[in-house]
Amino acid sequence: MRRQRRSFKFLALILGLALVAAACGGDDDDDGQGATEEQPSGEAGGDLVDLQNFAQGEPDHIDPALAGVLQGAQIGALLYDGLTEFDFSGDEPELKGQVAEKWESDDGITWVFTIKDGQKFSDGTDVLPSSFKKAWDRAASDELASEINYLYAPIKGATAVTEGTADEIEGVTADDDAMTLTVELEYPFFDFPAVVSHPVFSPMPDAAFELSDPTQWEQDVMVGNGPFKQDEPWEHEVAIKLVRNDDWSGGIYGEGTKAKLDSVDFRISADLDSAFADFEAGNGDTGYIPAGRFAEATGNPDWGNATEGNLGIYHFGINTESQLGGDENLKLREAIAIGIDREAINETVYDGSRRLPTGITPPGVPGYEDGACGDLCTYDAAKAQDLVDEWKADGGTLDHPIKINFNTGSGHEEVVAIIQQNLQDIGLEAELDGRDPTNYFAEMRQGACELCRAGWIWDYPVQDNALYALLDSASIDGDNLSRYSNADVDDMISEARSTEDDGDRQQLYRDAEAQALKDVAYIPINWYNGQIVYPKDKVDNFVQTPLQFVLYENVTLAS
Amino acid sequence: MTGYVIRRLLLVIPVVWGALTILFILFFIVPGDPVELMAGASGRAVPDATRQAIEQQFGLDDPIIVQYGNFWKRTLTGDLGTSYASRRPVADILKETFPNSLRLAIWAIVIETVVGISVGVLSAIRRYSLADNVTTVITALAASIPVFVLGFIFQQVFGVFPNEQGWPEWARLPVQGTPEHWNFFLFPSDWQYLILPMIVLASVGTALVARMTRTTMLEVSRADYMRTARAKGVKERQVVLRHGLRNALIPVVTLIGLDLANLIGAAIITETVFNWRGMGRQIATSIFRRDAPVVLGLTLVLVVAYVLINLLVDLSYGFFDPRVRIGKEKS
Repeated sequence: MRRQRRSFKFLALILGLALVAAACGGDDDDDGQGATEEQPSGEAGGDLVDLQNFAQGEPDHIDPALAGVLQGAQIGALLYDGLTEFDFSGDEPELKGQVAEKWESDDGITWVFTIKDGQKFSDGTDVLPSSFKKAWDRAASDELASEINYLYAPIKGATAVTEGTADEIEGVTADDDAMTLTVELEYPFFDFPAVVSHPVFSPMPDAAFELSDPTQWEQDVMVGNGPFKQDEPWEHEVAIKLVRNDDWSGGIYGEGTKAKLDSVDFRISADLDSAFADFEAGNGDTGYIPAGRFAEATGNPDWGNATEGNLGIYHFGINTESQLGGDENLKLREAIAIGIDREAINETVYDGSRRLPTGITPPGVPGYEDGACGDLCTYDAAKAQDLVDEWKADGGTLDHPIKINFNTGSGHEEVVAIIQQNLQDIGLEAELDGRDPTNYFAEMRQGACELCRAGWIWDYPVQDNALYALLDSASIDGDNLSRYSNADVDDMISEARSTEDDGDRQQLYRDAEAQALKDVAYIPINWYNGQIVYPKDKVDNFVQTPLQFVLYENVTLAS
Repeated sequence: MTGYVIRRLLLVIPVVWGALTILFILFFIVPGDPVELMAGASGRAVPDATRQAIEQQFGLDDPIIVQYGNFWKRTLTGDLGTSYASRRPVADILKETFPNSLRLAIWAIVIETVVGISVGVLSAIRRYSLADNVTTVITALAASIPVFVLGFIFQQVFGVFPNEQGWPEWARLPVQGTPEHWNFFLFPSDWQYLILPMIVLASVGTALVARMTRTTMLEVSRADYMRTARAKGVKERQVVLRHGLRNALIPVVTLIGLDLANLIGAAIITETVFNWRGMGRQIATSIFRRDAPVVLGLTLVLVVAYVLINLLVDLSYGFFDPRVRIGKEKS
């Protein structure tokens, strides 16, 4: 009797406590989730709740020296200003000095950057050439073991620092009196000033160098010199909160410019669909469009969208060492390139959210010109069929059905199914070769690629970034999955690097790209677009650059 | 009894050792290179110098046996290691995720127990009535609708739809998020965040508990002592609850206890859909990244929790059935 009553009493106690706690809980705490925005007045001010940047999960790193993933680098881009920065507001992207006033080089190997006077970090310390030198030593170091330290490779002595055989990058000299930073490269590279616009080259205050473990800098408040700053540390899996930096020197916008918003609350979500549902439920000011809802989201009259082109390509590589390679199979490769219905892929798989490519390099990279692909990016099933017939008539045969390689579980299943169908329609047998996503690229690099799914996201808007990695024979066993080796192309790229005149240099890169496309070692499928929406009546001046960074310093919240 | 408890507690050691060793080996067998996955974001090739630096940091270039030895050396001194992906101490990650998983699991169990047992008893008493049939259908639905479908439906119904209709704040529930302020460990100030995940997580378990309670109650109702109790003139309510339910509960308690142990670590989908900062989701993400220290460290805690909860379940039998005296051997 007593024991039975005890169990009921226990349950009753729990329920009672729950009710009491609920009653005592009271109102929603306004710090954190579900906060309602204060009433901003006019242009400046307002607290933006962002649900788009981290819609797919928490980044590993937000320290610009460590952040290899775009979403994490976005934070670095807001907290830090580097030597140079691209201005995308005009017709053509233009590289401008940010912390650097000017830069010059005679031979493309030795660069002298002159740093502006009076720049400060948000803790009041000065931004000096040594701020850059020490930051770069840190970023390239084996101690930090950054995933993106390969971006320092063009600088002389950087690789030694990564290997741990040196503490300082030999090629970098800082003169704090003359306010100059001298950088010596491993090879002539006239695009180098564009390379240093990447967040990995951000300056750091002395506070960053005082930590015994450099990787822990991002676990506490990071001090920077950008339009925003942190007031509180990163709350893992919950949010990253930035507030306006009133001591910002204005970046490329000029002295005196300040960010408009009071703060940006980057909420971290675990699941893209949930993050978007949260946006739809009115709990945030920005949303990242999930797959399949692009048309619906961009068609919503209450929402503005940032869906301009991004510097990213989705393409397939043809392994030139496989059965598809060689001059005798050129017609076959051309047939494959022309026989793929890119529009169908875009409509079916991407809900029309991507752009059809006309080459490898997309608009937004200085030097881009339309039509690099020629006819080879335009769908023409009849012509493709003719090419296949001609190829067969010339004696062309396949040892085995064409293998279409891709990484499974990553959204490519439908794409390869369409491609397989396209190939079958022109009389080519093809089979799907899906691989474990964790190992896919490693296997493709080792030569398993035949017609393999690939892609590239530009680190900085420079033709060299993609073309060297994809086309150059030095990148075979690396990112050159097609194992493409053309001495002319190698020469063009290396000559381009040492060409001072922008126009000539860009032409050389274009020629290299055109040649590789003519040899059909690459089949561009589509270019990426942005996927962000926001409530039109609330958010304004929301611009995403082709590098996929949002310029939060310009965003305003209407009243 | 004490001897029994101690013996059971000592069992934790081989279980933990076995589980972690198997996991450790799996990390080496299963394809996927953590350096690749870290540095090769977007499939980028990792240059040798970068790879070397990262491998040295984490001792990934040592032979397996050395890594295994190092792992135990640091674990036995209480150092759970550092995450490869984020470079954070695993202990910090554990501190942030374990309490939240425990809280959500406990609340789900509370629902399972209260709602599940009540519904089960009611169905058993009023067998074949309308109530019984309705609950049969609902429990079947709750058990078979995938958790993420249920989660998304709730998000739409309680979060998105009310916003589109312009309903007031109090008529909505949050779509995602974890409460930040907890009182007495279990009671959040921002309790709205708890409601939907708790219900969704409890859905399958509640259905199972209800069905099982109903079944065991019906079984028990056929027993002689039930007839005797009624013949003695004991009130029907006492017969059902004190004589019937008490005995029927043993298998149900096992189910609930194991479910508690299970829910702490396996609530991946609920935690992901509702952005609940829990262990299941953390482990799943870390497995994809081949982030061994995080997986091993969190699994260690889960295994210990599982064994302890099992022990508590076994010990509770004595409470329900006095004939069961745990630990007393027959002399």
